[in-house]
Amino acid sequence: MNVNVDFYDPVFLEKLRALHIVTNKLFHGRLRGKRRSMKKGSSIEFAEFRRYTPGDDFRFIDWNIMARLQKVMIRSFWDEENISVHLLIDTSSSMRFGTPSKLQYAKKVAACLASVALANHDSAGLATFSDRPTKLLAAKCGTSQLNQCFSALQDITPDGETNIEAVIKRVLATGCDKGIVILLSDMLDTHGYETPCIYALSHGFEIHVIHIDAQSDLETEGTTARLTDSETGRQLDVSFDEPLAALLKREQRAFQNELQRFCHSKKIPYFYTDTSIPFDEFVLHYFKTLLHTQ
Amino acid sequence: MRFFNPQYIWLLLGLIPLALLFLYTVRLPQMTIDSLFLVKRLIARKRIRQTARTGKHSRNLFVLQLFVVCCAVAALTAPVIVRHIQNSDIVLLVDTSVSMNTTADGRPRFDYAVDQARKIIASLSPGQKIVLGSFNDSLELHTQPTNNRDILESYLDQITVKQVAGRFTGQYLEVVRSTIVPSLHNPTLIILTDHLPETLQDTADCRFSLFTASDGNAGITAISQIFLPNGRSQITATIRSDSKKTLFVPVTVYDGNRQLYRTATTLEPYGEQSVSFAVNRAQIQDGHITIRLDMDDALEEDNAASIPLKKPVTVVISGTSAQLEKAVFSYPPAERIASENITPDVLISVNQPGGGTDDVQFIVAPTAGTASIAVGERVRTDAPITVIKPDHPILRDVSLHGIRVASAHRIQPADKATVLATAGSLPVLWCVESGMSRTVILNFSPEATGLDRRISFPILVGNIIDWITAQDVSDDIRRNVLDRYETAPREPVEEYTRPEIIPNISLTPFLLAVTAILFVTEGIMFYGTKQRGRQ
Repeated sequence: MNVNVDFYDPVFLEKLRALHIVTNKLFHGRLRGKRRSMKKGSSIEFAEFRRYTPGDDFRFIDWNIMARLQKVMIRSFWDEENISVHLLIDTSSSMRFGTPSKLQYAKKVAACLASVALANHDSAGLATFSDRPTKLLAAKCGTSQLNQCFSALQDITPDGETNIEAVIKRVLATGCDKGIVILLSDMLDTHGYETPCIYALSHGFEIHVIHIDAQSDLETEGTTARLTDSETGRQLDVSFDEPLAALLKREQRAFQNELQRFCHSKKIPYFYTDTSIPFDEFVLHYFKTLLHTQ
Repeated sequence: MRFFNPQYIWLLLGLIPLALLFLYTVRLPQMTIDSLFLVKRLIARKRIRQTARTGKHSRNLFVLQLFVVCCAVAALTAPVIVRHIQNSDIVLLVDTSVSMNTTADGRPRFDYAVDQARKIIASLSPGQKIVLGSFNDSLELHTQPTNNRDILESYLDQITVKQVAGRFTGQYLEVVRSTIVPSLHNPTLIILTDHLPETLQDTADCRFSLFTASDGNAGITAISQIFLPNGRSQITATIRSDSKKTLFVPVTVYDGNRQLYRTATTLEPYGEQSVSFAVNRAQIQDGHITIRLDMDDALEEDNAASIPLKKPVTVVISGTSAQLEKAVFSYPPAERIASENITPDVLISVNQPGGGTDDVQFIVAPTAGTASIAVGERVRTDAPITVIKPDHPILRDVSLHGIRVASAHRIQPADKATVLATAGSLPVLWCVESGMSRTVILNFSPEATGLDRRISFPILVGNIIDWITAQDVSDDIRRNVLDRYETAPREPVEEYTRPEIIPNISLTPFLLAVTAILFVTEGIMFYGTKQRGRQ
């Protein structure tokens, strides 16, 4: 599994250079960057006037205001800092399904997003998980971080059950910088998706949900089958009147709608994709949608 | 090396349910999907149905596997349950009365009884003891409690049929109960007889097992003689039917070869009937009374029994039996016994209240002494009898428990008197011994207290007569060696030990280890299933 092959398509890279991850929310960054910070600083974006206080830099005194109002006023500007982008990639056993597999797809998307974030001087971190974090790469910026992200993505193999709630709580509790959490998962989590999303929002993070689905190639003969859960190994004997694949597809769509409604209600950017959709197409769609919605 | 102890192979029957479970498991098309999450949503919405719980099936399978392994382990270790085996002891009594000579299928009934006794002796388990005895008109115990088969067999060989009638009576039961039962463990009384015992009542401390050796359409199972007043005797023959039909049985009584009486009786299917005749000693010539059933079948000649007519002893009873409370018993003086040619070892009968005679018989010996039983005027007491001297010969084998004396006579016992029992503050039974004279005072009415209907009453009277005669009679069952019988010390109970098929291992830790291994194996199997599911 090599994630670099498609990713280093020069044409695609050229397209990515013009993009950046958009957010309306202001975060405290650690380093200077290209995003407006919550702090006042020295950028060119005017913030406000305020009264002079001893110790202020004379260079920022607005002499025109002082001449007109006889008051010494200081002109302040917004600061510019970077933000942290945390990529959470579901590596549970269910991610091995699909052509290409959902995990493969998620890895490519995650690589693109990390690349874009780092190219815009933002910090990018990576966490893979099933029912617990399996790999954790703290958010950093720089070219070396990109290589680390790529190498981390190389070694991922699908295994275990999905438990987004436990993972979000553990990852966000590690004291990482507040920023954007991008969740790449098939969302087939019996523990539910609502709690982790609300938890991330309530802790000052912005969360993006990328729901990766795969076309089912399930073919059933007859009206009964013993289904085995790839994550837990549990078996279930079921009988059905319609083809199981059609039933599952319909249920998948219903589940997607539920998830989408929830995300809209919480103003969480939600993106649904299928592994049959080319990933570059989806990535461009992601950035484009973000740009339009923000 | 023997891998399995064949004795425990049956434990492997536990494999059968396992095999059945495997055979009857429905084979469904197997499919692995990314997650059952959506399937469970569909089940919740009733779009698809869950047909069986595989988890439950797996659990059942696991339990069965555990069971099979436990069975196999049990078979391998060949466990032996070590427990103390203490079977109940046995009092084995063989009927040696004359009726046991009656043949059935060419063999005397006695032989059948002996065969049965041999089987019982052969089936003795370790620690189990047998007391061997025989009875006809008296009870004789041949052995001490033992489980030595050789001793028992040798005594059994010595037992022969006597030419006397007899049946198992309440007296024998009392003797067995008082002398043998306390020294045995949960004893079972096995009576090998051709006649139903006289009484099997009140046997809470003694279990009975009755073996009957009689056969044929009808037979005389017992014959007895009861002395009547005025030198007469009553001969009673008990006839039992072994036929499912109602039988009409002619009965003829012979004095030697001389026919005395001829009568008939009707026997219900498998019923029993007693036929009684009164004979006058003076009319008897031969001295042997023979009763014959005149039936037209092959067993006719077997259906006969004879009894030597015994001489009556003269027991002088003052007053009638209805006036028993005023009666004075006096033993005949020696000269009178001599003049009437009364010999020792004879039977006597005691008049019962209300007339008639009791068939309880005693063996006494004449003596030169005189004695009397006297009673006086009554006063009201209404108190239970309290026995003061339970070990006194008069009260031997006599139970006065539960008898309430409504009224008694205000008689002051003499200075030398020995008070045996009281009711409240009044002495109700005492005895006085003065020189050659012995007197027993019974200071209450046996009829009013119901004592006369108890089995103890004739024993009490017999004891009184024995005591006033002041002579030990060696063959009196109540004075026999039984009351001095010493119980043999119990032999240690044998314990079974494990056969040395495989080394002796402690079963519990071994089973725990096997169970732990099984759990690990099951875990590995489950993990393997999960892995296969993912693939």
